[in-house]
Amino acid sequence: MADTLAGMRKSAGIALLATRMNFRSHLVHPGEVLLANIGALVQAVSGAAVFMLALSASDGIHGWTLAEWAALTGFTTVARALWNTVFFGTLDIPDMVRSGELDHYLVRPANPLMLILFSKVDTDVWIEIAVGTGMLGVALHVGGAELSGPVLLFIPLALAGSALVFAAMHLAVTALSFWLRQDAMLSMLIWRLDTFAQLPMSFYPKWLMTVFSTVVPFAFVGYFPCLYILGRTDSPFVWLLPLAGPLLFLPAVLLWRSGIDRYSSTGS
Amino acid sequence: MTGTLRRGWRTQQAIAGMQMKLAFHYRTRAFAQGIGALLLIGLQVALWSAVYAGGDGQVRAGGLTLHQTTVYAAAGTVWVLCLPGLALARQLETKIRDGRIVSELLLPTGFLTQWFSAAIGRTAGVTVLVGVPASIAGAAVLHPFTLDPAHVGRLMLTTAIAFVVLFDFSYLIGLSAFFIRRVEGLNEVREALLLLLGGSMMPISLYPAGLRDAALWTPFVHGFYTPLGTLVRDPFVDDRVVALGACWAVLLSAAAVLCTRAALRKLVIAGG
Repeated sequence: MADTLAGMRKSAGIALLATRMNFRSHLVHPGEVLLANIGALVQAVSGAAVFMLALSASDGIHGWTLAEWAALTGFTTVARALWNTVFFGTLDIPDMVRSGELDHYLVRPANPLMLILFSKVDTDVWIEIAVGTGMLGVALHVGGAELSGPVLLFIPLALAGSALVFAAMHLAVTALSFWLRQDAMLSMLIWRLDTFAQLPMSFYPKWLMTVFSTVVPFAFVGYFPCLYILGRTDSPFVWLLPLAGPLLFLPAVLLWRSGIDRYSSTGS
Repeated sequence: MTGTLRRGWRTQQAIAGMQMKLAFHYRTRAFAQGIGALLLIGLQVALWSAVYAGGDGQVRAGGLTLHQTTVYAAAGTVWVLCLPGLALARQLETKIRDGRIVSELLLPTGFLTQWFSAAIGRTAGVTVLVGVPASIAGAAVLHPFTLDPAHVGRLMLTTAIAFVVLFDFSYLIGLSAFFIRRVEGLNEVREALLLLLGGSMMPISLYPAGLRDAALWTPFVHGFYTPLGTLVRDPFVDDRVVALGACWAVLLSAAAVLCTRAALRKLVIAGG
């Protein structure tokens, strides 16, 4: 037990050090950080504007107002940005496996997954967090949602859980590269699909909603938590939703470990 | 055709052919892209069905029916996969950053034409491997769909313009790696503008009139809206819009030539 705790403390220390170093290396070129954030801002605003233009063609979509949809978009934007802040490095796993670069992490005296997680930071996400939070706040205000104490407590918990759902999906998919040896094959699918997590799941036919609630659990990223935040449900079970992230992340880590066990380097 | 021209033509053909073979080498990736495209088409159909549901029947602001809009969105999904995009800019950026670009300058071809031929080859490969099967499967879902023979010529012209415009955008962004360290920000701006003003997800004709008319003057619409609008016979894609697209293709190509000259002058070979 003491050894485990010491190991965790050591990994946390390394993670902190790596993150600080990564941020500093980005800030050596502040103009490029600014440009990347402007790019992320334009993309976030454009994506929202296009969906809004599409949805404004109807008075209400499957019972959702534009304000409610904007709150869902803001929420998922923040959750995705939070995932991107910490777990960005996992996207490189397929390339690392293919090129043998993973060896560098395996020979270091620290948890390799922890090292990969904190090997990169994405500084473009700052603006996404700001835009998403602003969008969520304004939409809740305009939509007249009741922000009670429990809802305010629920939002950060749900955001952390949602970020972990994203992390679990991407880690599971990238860990498959130990078996498939293909670069970012399935990861690309998840990337393409996650834009649609910003839409109310009631849009989709039932079979698709079942897929989004089970196989590719995008419904846990924004739709289910927002049902409670928007006052569309008062079921006490919503408090279990933030646990979806950790519960999904655990098998993803096990899959990663299983992959590491069968990993044989390219030898290059 | 003179000997020099013939040799140049053969070289470009060889470059395009090599890229086409390379596209076929990554079959599993292409398969995943195809499946992803079909899933996205399904999601697009669900989205637009929801948007049009409960309306006045079929026709919306831009004069497009639900069927036309879904065909537009589905074709746009396949379009993104096949035409030059992020991959080209990133490839160029990586080669500039790690110095591999130098070996390309030793080849007996022009730098810009070489990348253009490579883009044509890759597009042809991905179109055969992913675009055609995904289009056939998508067309089965969106049946019935007919293409007026009178529109075929215009569709080919607007497709060629779209290719040149999208290539030039990606090439110019990739080339900017000679001047800045990371081009990701520019890439994101390009994606966003293609999404909002280019109609990569929905037809511009569904926008409010002011925004639609302003967007028609930008180069972005000619990457997606003009060819896809021609495909679904969008009434807003008229001769004036196509002519404007041709002008943008020429202007952007001229900018690509000038930027290539300026960028290559910045190249410093350390001699290592």
